Amino acid sequence: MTAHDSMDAKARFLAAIERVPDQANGAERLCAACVLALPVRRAAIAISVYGHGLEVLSATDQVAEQVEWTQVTLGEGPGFDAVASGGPVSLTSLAQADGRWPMFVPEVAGTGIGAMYALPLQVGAIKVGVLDLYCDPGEFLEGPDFADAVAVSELLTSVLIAVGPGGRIPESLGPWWNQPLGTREVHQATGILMEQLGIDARNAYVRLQAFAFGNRQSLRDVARDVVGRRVRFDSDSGEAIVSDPTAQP
Amino acid sequence: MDDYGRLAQAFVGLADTLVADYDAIELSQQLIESSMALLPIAAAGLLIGDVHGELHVLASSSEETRLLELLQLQADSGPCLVAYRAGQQVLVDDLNLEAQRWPDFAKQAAEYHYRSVSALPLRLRDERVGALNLFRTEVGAMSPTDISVGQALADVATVGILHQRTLTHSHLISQQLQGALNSRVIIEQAKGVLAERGSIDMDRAFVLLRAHARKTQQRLADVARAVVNNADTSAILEQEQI
Repeated sequence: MTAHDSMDAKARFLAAIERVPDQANGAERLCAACVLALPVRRAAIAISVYGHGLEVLSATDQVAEQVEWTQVTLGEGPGFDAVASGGPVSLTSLAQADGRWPMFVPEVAGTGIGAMYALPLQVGAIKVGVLDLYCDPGEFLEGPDFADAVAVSELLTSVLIAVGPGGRIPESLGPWWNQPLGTREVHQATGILMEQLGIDARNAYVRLQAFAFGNRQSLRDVARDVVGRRVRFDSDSGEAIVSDPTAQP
Repeated sequence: MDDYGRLAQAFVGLADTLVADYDAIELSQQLIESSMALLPIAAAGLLIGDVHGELHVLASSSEETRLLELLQLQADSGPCLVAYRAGQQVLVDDLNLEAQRWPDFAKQAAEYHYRSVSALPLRLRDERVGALNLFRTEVGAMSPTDISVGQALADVATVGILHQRTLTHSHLISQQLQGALNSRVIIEQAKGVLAERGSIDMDRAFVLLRAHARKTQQRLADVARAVVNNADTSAILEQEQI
């Protein structure tokens, strides 16, 4: 497992999106691409609403949709735990639930799903939702495949933040989206932009993305300039002001 | 107080932290502070691995950019990465002699006057969790007792970060680690808000955030989340003399 592998998973996902027929619902294409890029049978995305709740955004098929709706309606399941803990939650089979999710597990017992992996779609305090992946009974996401799934969930998070829930995904997501995230500066810059523009964390992240994308820069480089006070955003015009590029942080 | 007394105090302090709803980041930060107090070191950093096997700084003796860059640099290539991957201690008594093995790391460490480094693994049975890094400004080996104390602190950190020692499934471990890393992301977002609002640097923003969390007996991540979700920050920014 290396950084190289996680990049490969993202590249596979980006390539898979282009193979999915361009349907009206962009979110359906994202789910379909998950199934093409990862060794899983089904995928579903639920979006965080009103702080604690989840709403079904899309699913690859009726089974995934049914499980997702059950989870959302009951307010209980691996997806909710993933959102609450900020880390992935896995259920290797319904029989292994061990008393967790006492309402959810019996409700979905008839669907024939095997292992379920709930991966939170979030960046710190920005909660986008959850990606639920389903394997056939007896199959599992092990080691590198699991890491790939997490890499895809990270990319999905960026895309969903950029387009907003239900937003239309461009036919092709270019290689710009295949970049490492998770540097401290990116998150610090998000906080700085919130304050400079008087907006919430999600919108601050969108502005950071848009500026980086528009200038064909990596998120990391733009964030470094924001943290180093070489770029600031003006609250009146909303425009980015690039000051002396040689200024020291 | 003698060495034994200080050591006992450090572990009692850590045990106090391990109450029901404790904070993995605060625990890590306390471990760093205990390491700094108990061991003959100049800087320390605790890194944990994500699901891809990449290391991230969870806590450090300073939030200054240069220490963080050095820690991140050796997360890519350096003693820390070796300790993490092999699950074994990597003790470098003289970084000059290892300049060829880790040229970038050795060069930058020398710029900051760090001459030797110990990387102690965080592991739970066969699972690799991360590594504790201890930097010194002198050349030479740390005493076996100091290394043992450092490793004991690293072991406590492992149990603390993973919340319990009974975790058997690697997915559960990655769940805990990713959760801790996400808490760190919230803290960085909150630092950005505070730094801009109070015209202070990131290090100061962290110190204020943490002091306020302790004073009000809240989890660091919860205070940070409130800041990012637009809570009033005057009580955090107007603390005096910290």
